Amino acid sequence: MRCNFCGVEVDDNVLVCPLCHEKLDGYDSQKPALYPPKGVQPKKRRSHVSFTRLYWGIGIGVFLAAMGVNLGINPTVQWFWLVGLLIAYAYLLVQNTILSNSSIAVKVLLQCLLVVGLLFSFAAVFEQWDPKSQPSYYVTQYAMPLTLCISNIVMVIFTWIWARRHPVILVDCIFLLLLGFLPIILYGCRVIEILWPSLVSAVFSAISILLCFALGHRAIKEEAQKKFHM
Amino acid sequence: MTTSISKWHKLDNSAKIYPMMAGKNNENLFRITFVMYEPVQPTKLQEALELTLERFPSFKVMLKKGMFWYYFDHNDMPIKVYEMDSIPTRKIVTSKKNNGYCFKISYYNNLIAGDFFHALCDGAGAGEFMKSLVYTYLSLLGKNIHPEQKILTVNTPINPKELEDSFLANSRKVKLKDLKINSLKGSKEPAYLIDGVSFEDGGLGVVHLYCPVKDLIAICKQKGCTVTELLASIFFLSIYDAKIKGKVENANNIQVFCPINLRKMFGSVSLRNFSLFSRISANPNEDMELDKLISIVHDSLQRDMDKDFIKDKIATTVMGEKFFPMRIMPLVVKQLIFDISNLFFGNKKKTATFSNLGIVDLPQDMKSFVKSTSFSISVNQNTPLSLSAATTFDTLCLTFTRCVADTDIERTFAKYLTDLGLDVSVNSNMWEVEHAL
Repeated sequence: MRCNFCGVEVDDNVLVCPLCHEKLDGYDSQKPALYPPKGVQPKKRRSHVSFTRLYWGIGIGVFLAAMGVNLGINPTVQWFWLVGLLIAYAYLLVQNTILSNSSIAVKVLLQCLLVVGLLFSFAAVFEQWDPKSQPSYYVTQYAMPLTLCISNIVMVIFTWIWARRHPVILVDCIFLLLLGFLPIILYGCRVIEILWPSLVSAVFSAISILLCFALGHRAIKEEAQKKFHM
Repeated sequence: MTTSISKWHKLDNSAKIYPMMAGKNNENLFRITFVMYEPVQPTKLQEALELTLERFPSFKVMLKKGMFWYYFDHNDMPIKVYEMDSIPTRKIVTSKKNNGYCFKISYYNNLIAGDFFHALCDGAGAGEFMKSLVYTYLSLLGKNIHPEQKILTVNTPINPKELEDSFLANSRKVKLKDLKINSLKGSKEPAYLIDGVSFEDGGLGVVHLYCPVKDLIAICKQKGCTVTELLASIFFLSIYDAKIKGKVENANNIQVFCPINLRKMFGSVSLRNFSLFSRISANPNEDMELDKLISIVHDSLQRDMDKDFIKDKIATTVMGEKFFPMRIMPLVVKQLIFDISNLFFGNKKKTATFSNLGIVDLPQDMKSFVKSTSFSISVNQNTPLSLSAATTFDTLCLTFTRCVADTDIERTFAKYLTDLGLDVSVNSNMWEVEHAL
């Protein structure tokens, strides 16, 4: 077919000229089109947006209600902050950990930091209620080193399962295990006073790192070369 | 096929920026399409893809994040050919469907299309891959084709030079004080930006203009210019006539980016990226005539294709990569700096891109199976239109890709070609018209 307006030759498989959109004579519906017709539209990502909006809408509502109740009944102990933190934590747990595409090391590290942060927040609120109990002290001395240790145990388990298929996890695991030495460093700096939880964390990290090297030193070398562009 | 090939490799110098630029809806993809005379057989195409991929180790990779840079890691996951969607591909790397591969092969009726992420290769590299794929596909169909040394067949030994980063290989050592940073700097002036109503559904409009290459070359000889110079000049004129003339006063300069393939100049056979951009600028407030524009385009391309100038450019970009603070800066920080600078300085110095892939050199035996090839490049909100060209056998295919609805520029361009006496035929995906196909 020829478009008389544009002076160009057009395939018989279209109803109108692709340039001026004037109707053409000689349309052949049997002739296959070059491209797929404009058909089913891709699904818009509304569900994700509406979930986030709904969650935070309800979450902020619950937080404001908790704040109202808390400040109305007993404003000396401000526990409504904990409600807000738990709402935020639940969101990060689902969206940034369970549903996220990030590496397992990033997820474990994020959860470790969030749990430690939550524990310190709980301790701060309890201190308002009973200043003599010193919950922050127990979090620093016991909970923080043990949370790090538990995170490392989780990471080692995942590494054990996945290292063959995804050797890059070995490098990530070693990096996370290095964090296990943080409590003993803090003990050395006299921030932590009780030795055994920090020692447990450090010993576990040391043994796990040695095991990683013993079992996969070649894979670690190769993956480190990739990761660090060596 | 026993050549020892590293199972991972660094991104080449110019590719490093593409993963950082890759947004949720724009990944800097480009497409090479082969239009066949016969409908495509998906099972044979799948078989051909699996065979061809083994020959091209630089394509058998997935993009991963390192501590300081992205890198390509060997990918053993299965690869699949897809039936073409009605929505053109805009995501490959961030899509979970493609098993991590940075390219995607699809088919529809008589079409075989390859969408490639620019970090993987440029048009020339992808062209070699597609030629090999189509050759293998036709061979599996029982067609007897002599490759005439124009195809890297599955039996052609892998040349390690195909995998080299030609920027590094051709970079000369320079001291920091001798670097010519100005060679990288472009115009400080903002460019004229094409406006229009965007497609709401995220689709792309594609218009192909076909014309006989012999007639076009004859016109170029008359005018004393190359095909690229003539087409780029007509592109300038079309933008001016369709969008600026009588509509916009004191418009900014029209700035068209035109990639230059450096392989011939440096004798490279790399299948990865080895091209640099030339920025061609014309003032729409002055006389916009074809002959004058041909001269502007010619001068710009001559300046940017000077070997010493290009060597300076390569040395500067390679030095940027090797600069110690850049090397030790974690990737997250680089990404953050890139995002912030992009937010403030943005991509507002480009009106459009024009890329001429050149001749897709196929063996004569394939002439009875391959009707034409086309090449199209990605667009974004700031530069909603691009023009690309590819020549196969006797036909030049010009492809306009756009994310805005109107086709004024394409119509004007076609009119200029017909006024020059060329016989032009048109095809389109008709994205702007409901129920047109």
